[in-house]
Amino acid sequence: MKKVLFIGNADEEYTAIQNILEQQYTVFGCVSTFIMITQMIERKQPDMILFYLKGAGDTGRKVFEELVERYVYIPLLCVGSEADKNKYAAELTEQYFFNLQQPVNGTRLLGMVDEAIKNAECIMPSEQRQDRKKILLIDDNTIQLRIMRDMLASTYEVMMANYGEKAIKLIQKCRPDMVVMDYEMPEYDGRETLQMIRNLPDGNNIPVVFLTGVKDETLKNAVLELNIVGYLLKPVKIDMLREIIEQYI
Amino acid sequence: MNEVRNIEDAKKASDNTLPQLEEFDFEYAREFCPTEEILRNILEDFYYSITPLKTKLQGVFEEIENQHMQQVYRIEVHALKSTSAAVGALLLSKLARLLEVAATKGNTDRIRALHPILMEELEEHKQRIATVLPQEEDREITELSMNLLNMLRMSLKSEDYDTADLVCTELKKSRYAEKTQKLMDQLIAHILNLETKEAIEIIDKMRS
Repeated sequence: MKKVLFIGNADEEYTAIQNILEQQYTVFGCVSTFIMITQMIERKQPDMILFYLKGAGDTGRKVFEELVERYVYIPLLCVGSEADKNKYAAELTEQYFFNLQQPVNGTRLLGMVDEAIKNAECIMPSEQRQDRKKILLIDDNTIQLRIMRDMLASTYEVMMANYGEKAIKLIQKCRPDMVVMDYEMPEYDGRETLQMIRNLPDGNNIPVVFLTGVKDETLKNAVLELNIVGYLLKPVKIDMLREIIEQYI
Repeated sequence: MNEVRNIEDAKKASDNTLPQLEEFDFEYAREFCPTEEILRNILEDFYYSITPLKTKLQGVFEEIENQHMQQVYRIEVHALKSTSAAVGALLLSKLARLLEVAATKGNTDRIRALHPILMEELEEHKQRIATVLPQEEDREITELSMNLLNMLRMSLKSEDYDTADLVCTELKKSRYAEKTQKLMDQLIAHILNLETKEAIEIIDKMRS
């Protein structure tokens, strides 16, 4: 699914547009502060930016100008009334502007987004863009999860789950390229969670790395027989984790 | 001597290194935290997790003769054992480890003896961390905070904790009126524990 970053103040219209977009895209909402937008663009690498003009204020105008200047390679579509357009971005051509009239014409909106993404792909084909690989981290220790996420986030798209069932839901929604999981978890341990993953369609093809705090050769040998690609001792050293990830994805 | 110390303190402050803190071994924590920024972030997360954890542990402790509650208690102190170690709170981690063993064995006498000490230590650790956290700016819920809450809700609905953490970082920069702050602390703690449903409930309460 293509990713759309939807910037703006969430009101009823914003939510209605978001619902339309979600029929076809993965949508990330974002407030219109430049620091947040920059971080979201870096982390999510959207295929398209939608800017909701209503109520954007003076800050919105500055943010809009910065977006146009900095992110020339990401298509941008503004959504608002003619009055909003005149206020914030009068120079916008029809190609970059969706006139928001009630009821919202969802088909036309989706058509414009689709066309903008396709046009951008003509300039930079998707195979030339570096789509980031997805890593799913599973650990009941949510601080440990965040340490690993922060270590990997600059290179990979990282998802987090703190127990098996949540991990399965995430895998079904957004198949990861690799799973890194704690072995000792309280409800479903690593062995049970691995079994749940393997039972999924295509689950056998997801490389899994186990993490454990127990230095035990017997456990290590037993775990390595479970059709996994690696086994690391906790606390995890970033270099070792990166090495094993790069080897398998 | 004082001058030397002041120069060292100033140097540490300028490179954003955490100062020494009683009962925290940051050198140990740094072995596994690649940057000072990550260490600061997890220390802040740990700070926000303490009050809700104390409330939860106390509730479970009051029914500790119940075997199911012993299991719940074990899970909570098991998690505390590693989170506290991750921020260098090694004595707290050992105390959690003792309680985990006691809960595994169903040794309620030992839990009763150690639990009050754990509660006291958690509070003291929280007070110590507070001294190194950035000062928050006082403000009421603004339009921006409301928009951040909406963004947070949207990210939680799709289990996108990466975005949720970004939003929390922004929300944590402010201190709100007492009632709102209480809800905000609960919200941050739920997000830290990846408790989606509970976090959304608090957001809805705040928005209304």
